[in-house]
Formats: sequence, C-alpha cells, structure tokens
Amino acid sequence: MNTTFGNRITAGFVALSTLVPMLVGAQSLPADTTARFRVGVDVGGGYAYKLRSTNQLPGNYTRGGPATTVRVKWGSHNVIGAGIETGWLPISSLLSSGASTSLGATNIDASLSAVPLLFIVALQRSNVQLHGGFGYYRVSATATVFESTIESSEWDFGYMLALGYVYPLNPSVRVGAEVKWNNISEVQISLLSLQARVLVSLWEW
Amino acid sequence: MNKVLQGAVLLAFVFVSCSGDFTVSVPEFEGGGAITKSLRLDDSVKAKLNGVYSVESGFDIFGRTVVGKWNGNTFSIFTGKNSAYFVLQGGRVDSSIVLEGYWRYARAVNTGLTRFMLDAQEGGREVLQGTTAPIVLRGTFGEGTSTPGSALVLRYLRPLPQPARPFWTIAHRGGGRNSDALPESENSLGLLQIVEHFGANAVELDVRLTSDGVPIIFHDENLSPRLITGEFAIGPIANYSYAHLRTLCMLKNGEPIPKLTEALETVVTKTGLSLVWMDTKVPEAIPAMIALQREYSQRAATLGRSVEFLIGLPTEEAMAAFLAHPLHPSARALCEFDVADVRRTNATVWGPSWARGPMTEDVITMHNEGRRVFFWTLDEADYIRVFLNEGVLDGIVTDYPSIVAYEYYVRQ
Amino acid sequence: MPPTERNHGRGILLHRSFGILLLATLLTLPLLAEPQDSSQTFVLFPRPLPSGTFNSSLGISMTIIPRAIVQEGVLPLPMVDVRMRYGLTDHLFLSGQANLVYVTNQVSLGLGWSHSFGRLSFALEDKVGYWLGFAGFEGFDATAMGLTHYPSVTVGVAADNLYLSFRTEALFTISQHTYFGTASVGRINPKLAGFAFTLAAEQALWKDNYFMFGTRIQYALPMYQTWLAFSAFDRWLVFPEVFIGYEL
Repeated sequence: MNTTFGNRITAGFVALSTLVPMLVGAQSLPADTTARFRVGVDVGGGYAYKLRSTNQLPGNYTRGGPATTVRVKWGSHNVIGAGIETGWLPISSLLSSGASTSLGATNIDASLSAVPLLFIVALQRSNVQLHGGFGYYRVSATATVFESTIESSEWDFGYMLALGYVYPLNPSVRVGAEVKWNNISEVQISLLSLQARVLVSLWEW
Repeated sequence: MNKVLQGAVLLAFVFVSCSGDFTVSVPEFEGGGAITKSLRLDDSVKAKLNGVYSVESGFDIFGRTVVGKWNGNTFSIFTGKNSAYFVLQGGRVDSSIVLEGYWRYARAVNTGLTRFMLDAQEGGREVLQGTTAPIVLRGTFGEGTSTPGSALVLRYLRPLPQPARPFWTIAHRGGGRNSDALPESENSLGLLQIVEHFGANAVELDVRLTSDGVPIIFHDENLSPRLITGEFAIGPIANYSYAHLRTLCMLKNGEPIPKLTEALETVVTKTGLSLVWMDTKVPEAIPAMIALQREYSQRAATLGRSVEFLIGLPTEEAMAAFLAHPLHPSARALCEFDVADVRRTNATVWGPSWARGPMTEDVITMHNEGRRVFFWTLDEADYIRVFLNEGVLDGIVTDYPSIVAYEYYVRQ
Repeated sequence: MPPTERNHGRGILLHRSFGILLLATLLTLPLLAEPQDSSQTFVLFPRPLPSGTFNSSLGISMTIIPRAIVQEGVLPLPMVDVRMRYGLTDHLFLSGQANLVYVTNQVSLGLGWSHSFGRLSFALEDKVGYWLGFAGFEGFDATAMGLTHYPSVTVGVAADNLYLSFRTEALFTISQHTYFGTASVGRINPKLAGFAFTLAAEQALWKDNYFMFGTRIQYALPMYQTWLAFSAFDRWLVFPEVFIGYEL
C-alpha cells in the first residue's frame, strides 16, 4: 500500500470527522425567518489560487485570478439544502517572449480557465455554512505559439467544498465570506479561493 | 472555528494529491555492476541459455518455473507467480557467465536488483566452449536499490518450444500503459526500444492526426495529465497543430509526442520487432497510413529487416475510409469486426476482442482462408492460458507481454 | 513493497479507521446528555429497530471509476440503490442492499446488532454479497459473477432533526467466475480487497419524508463495479461514491 496515500486518506477523514460533528453539535441561533422553505441565489466574488503548478514553459506565469460563484439553492428550516453552482475560475496564464523550443524561438501567450456546473448540498448550523458538491467543469485553454492560436475545451469531472460564514442584514438578505476548494479531479487541477458573498432569498413559503 | 478551518484545509489536502499516479524507478547497480568488467557473449552461447528453468530457491516469490530468453543483448526471465519479469545484461567473466539487472512485478510496483552467475563448475565452461551441460543459474535478488541478498537459483529444465506456427506477442500502446509505470511513456519511441525486453515481438500503436494533418501516435482523444505534462494543453488533440503539441506539452517521462514516421523508423532501425499494428483512431488518417505502410515496408526490406505493418480497422468509419482508398486492394489490413467484414476488407488478419470468447471454429475458418487471428487485449494469466490452450490463435495483444511470454513458452 | 509490508500498512489503515470512528464518537459526547426523539428509525442511522420494523430506501448511487481503470477519463457509474433494515429483536437486525445497473449488479444481505446511548448509536454488521454482470453488446459476449463479504462498524450521531452516520467497512472478495463465449475462468480466492468509509446524513426535508445523502470512499482493488474493464491491477485505487435516497 502507498502509505503516504493512506496517511492522506486518514487525514481527510480525521478532518471530516472533526468538522461535521462540530458543525452539527453547534448551538443554533434563532431562525432569521419564520418561513419553512426558501429558494435563494448566492453570488460571490473573490480571488482563486491554483494549488499546484504543472507549468514547464519559461515566461511570466500567473496562478489563479479573480473568481466568481453563483448558486441557486433550495433550503428548508431544517439543516440540509441543495442546489446548483456555477461561476468562473481563472486557473493560470503564461506570457513568454522569444521562448526557446525544439522547433525554434517563439512568443507564447496561453491561458486556462474553468466554468463549474455542480450539484451542491449545503449544511448550516448557526451562521456557519458548509457546501459540498460534484459535477463537471468546462475547462478551456487558449494558446498562441508560432503566431498560431488554438482554442480548446472539454468537460471534466470534479468536486467542490466550501466553508463560510454568513450574517443576516435582514430576513431576505445575508452577507458573508467563504473559503472554497475546487478540485477538477479528472485533470488534477485544484484551486483555493476566498470570496465575499451576498445571499438573497427569492421565494419563501 | 480554528479547528473547523484546519479540518477543511486538511480535507482539501487529501484530494489535491488524489490522482492515483505513481512512478517506479528502474534500480541500477552502483558503478554499473560486475557486468562492466565482463566480455561480450556470442549468439551461440546466448542460445544455450534460452529455456524453461525450475526454481530451486526463491520459489515463494517467483514460483516453481520460469522462462529465460535472449533478445539481442538482453536476457529476460518471465515468471508465473506474481507475474514478474527480469531484464538482465549478460557477459563473460573468465569461464563463468554473469547476468545482472533488475526484476519487477508486471502488475504492481515491486522491483529490485538481481544478479546471477553461471559458474564454470555448473555449466559455464561448457556453454562458453559450445558444448552442452546442465545449467544452474545461481543468483540473488533484493528490494529496490538495496544490494541483492535473497537466494534465487534456477536449474535448466528444457529448451523453449518451437511451434509450427509463429506466434505474436503484441504489446499494447507501443509497449504498455502509463498506469503500469514503465520506464518510458506509452506510445513513445523509448518504449518501442525496450518492449522486447518484456517479451514482445510486435507492437500496437495508436494513430491520430494533428490539426495540420501530421500522423502521430497517441492513444486518447483528449490531452490530459494521464498522458502528458503541459498546463495549457487540454481538450481534443485534434485541435492542436504539431508545432503546438511540441511547444505546449510532452509525454509523462519528458518525451515529445512522436510522429508516426518516427515510430516506424524506430521500429525498423532500432528494434527487432517483426510486426506493427497501426490502430486507426481517426479514419482521416487512413490515406497517410497506407502511404507510410508502403514506404516503410520498402525501407525495412532495403535494410534486410522483415517487418509487417498492418492498418487496423476498429470502426465502421475506418473500414469505409479504407475501402474508399484507391490503393486499399494492395494494403495489408487488420479488421476487428466479424469474419464477413474481414472478407469485405480483404484483411490479412482478423482482430476480435477476447471477450467474445475463443471462437475456435471461426479462427480455423480464417486460417483456411490464409488469414491470421490476433485477440485483444488479454492481461490476466488465467484468461491467457484459456486462449493458448483452447484456441488456435496467432497472437495476443496485451499490456503485459511478459505474462503472455511466460504462458506461451512454459507450455510443453 | 513485499506482501508483509503491504499487509502491515493495511493493518495500520484499519486501526486508524477505527480511531477515526472513536474520535468522531468522542467529539459528539457532549450531545449524549441531550434528550432525543427515539421513536424515528432509519435505514442507515444505526439506531436499534423495534422487532418487526422494516425500513427501506430507494435512490441512486454514483461511483466514480478512476482514470487508472477507465484510462481516457473518469467514468461516473450510476446505479439504482435500494437499502433495507428489518428489526429481528430490539437490537438484532437484518440488513440488505442492492445496487443495479444491468451491466453490473450486487445484492448483499447480512445481520447486524445495534445499540444507542442517548444521541449516540452504533452497529456492528456483517454482510455477504453476490454480484452479477452482463455484457452482450459490440465486442463482448461475457457474463461474470462473484461473492463478496463486508463486515462493518457504524457510528451514528443524532442532532435535532439531522442524523449523521459514519461507517467503516472491510471489503473481502471471495470468488469470481467469468464466462466469455464458450470459455470460462473461475477462481475462489478469499482475500482482503480494501476498505470503504461512508459519511451519510438522513433528514426529513418536509413533513415525515426522510432523505439520505452520503458519500462513500472505497480504497480497494477493482471490485464488482469495474469487472467489465478486466483490470489486472494488483494495487488499491480510490473509488469515490455519492448516493441519495428516499426513505420509503
């Protein structure tokens, strides 16, 4: 067995086993609404950072950038909610002038980004929210080398996990922040982002 | 709250590296080992070592019988138990023969160094003099790069069988898959040059086209970390020109994605492989493949090499493109569908999936029509044994040529 | 790594997994003193079932087959997921599960014993599974079947209306037979094939309609889900799974 991998599996489940019971056991504040169900939209913006670089080309390499999140969720006065998440994730970019390659010198202008389309589940206790989800990311690459540009995209499977805090401004609007981890596992791309959020209840019943 | 955040970060860490990739380094003796001080062995001497051996020490790891076979300057040993193979260099030291190199489980990551001596008193002198004597290879093996210390003793039992019909052990994807952590990437020039060490005498290559029409060898439709390193290379490989591919990415072990011409040149000039199955991944590649088949058949003949190049037809579209080409009557094809399609395309070889069963009657029918039959892709010894025992096939495509080689040669 | 080292590593993993369950239990000890509604019973949550009580669920599970097997990508494999628990005595229960998608299907049945302490519940279970797969499409004329064995420990934490379950399973393969065309290969080779860790939540989303959501991480040799790939890997891989079900 790969013991390093086994250690990581163990670490992951220690983390999960620590995190979830603490969330579940936390004291509930009084509900900020008397409604039983709600559908809301959750918009966030911030900065995403790619956790691991696989770039081997010379030049000015940038990991991550400004990122956004949009969620539409259904939730109840109970703890678990569900919904859909999308947004925009800049993954990396490269700008290189006169890079030496096996075919000669060339300028390189390349970038990589992703649009997530995820099914998410949400867990909230007190004002702490935990979101988890899986689905597909539309990963797109653009590259110009030897003065020829290509654009290429594909759908890749991946996950998401986010931990955040929200504060109610009024019964329909909350603001907050979250730390989010996006893992496009099929192509081994992971990003960590910090985003500010606005949550608006659209319908309540 | 700190603990909660810490837990979230830990959890993220677990999945960041959850790729399943791993690498296995080929262990080497420090300073090159005893082989550096040895003299070259003649082919007549090497031939005497080819055979089936019983394992007198080390059978708990490698089983009771093994197969030993020279390929050029490399002596390979194939085992049944743990599906291991040995890749050894040989040389003469006084009146003894030394064999040194590494062993590896074909389906796992276990590997280590190994060294054998054919002592002058145990057949070495006679073998070097050209006569026959009982042969005992007395050796040791170890784990990783540690000095070999566990006993491994092989006693010659019998020569390798010489069947009436030739048999092809066809290595999948140019030699094997990246997921088996071989020393070279799948569908690479480097792997073509070492695949015979694993017991193959033929290869299957996957042929695709770049956006500017250059035939390359690459298995997947899309670029991904499975096959390449290159952050900005993603999506269908057909979106990229050859210049883009050479600039933006490389295969997992640092090699460039090879052109088909480079692969065929390597087979003809740097290997002893006798057959190449070019699997048509995109039907648009058929015209180029037919042209290259003719060119490299002539090239091999010019160099005195006997190499057969087959155009694989795995899809209806590929068959249609092949039949639409004006030169198809003289092109040699391998058809994967039914016997009716084999006849329709006048294919030289029928290549059915093994999961359809041995289909012995159909195989005999193909033989009666002067065609051969290769089954794909068999990786487990139990299944390989069934086909070798119950079928009358001519070849097997496999990710583990060492397993096929063992099962084929150990039969009596 | 020699087999002895590998087994030692897996023993460590087993010990650690039980340690995780213990940690989860300890972290929720403060909840033990809280009163709870003990009348509701569940499919996953290991609260004891009164004798004669039958709980079942119908849903979908999705196993992500890793790239090492699929090669060109990962393959989400959806399956119909049916689960049940039947109370034999106040602590002893019968449990069963079926995962079906025609190409590969597994049914498992077993016995379990459960107990509760306030908000905390736990169960010991032992299930035997039988799987069967069919492949009669282009390029395939194959059928396969096998026996499996899954002992497990489940710890449950009840908090208000949310019921969380943590389960650790040991996965054993007992036998496999494969028929392809006119030929067949069969082997009986009981061995430890891996472990699986499940985290699940059961909750009433409206009125008394309970749903379960969960994830299961299987760290094991290729099992029934991937028989059709005929993978010959002799190493453990990660198979994530998510599932959702409605409790009938």
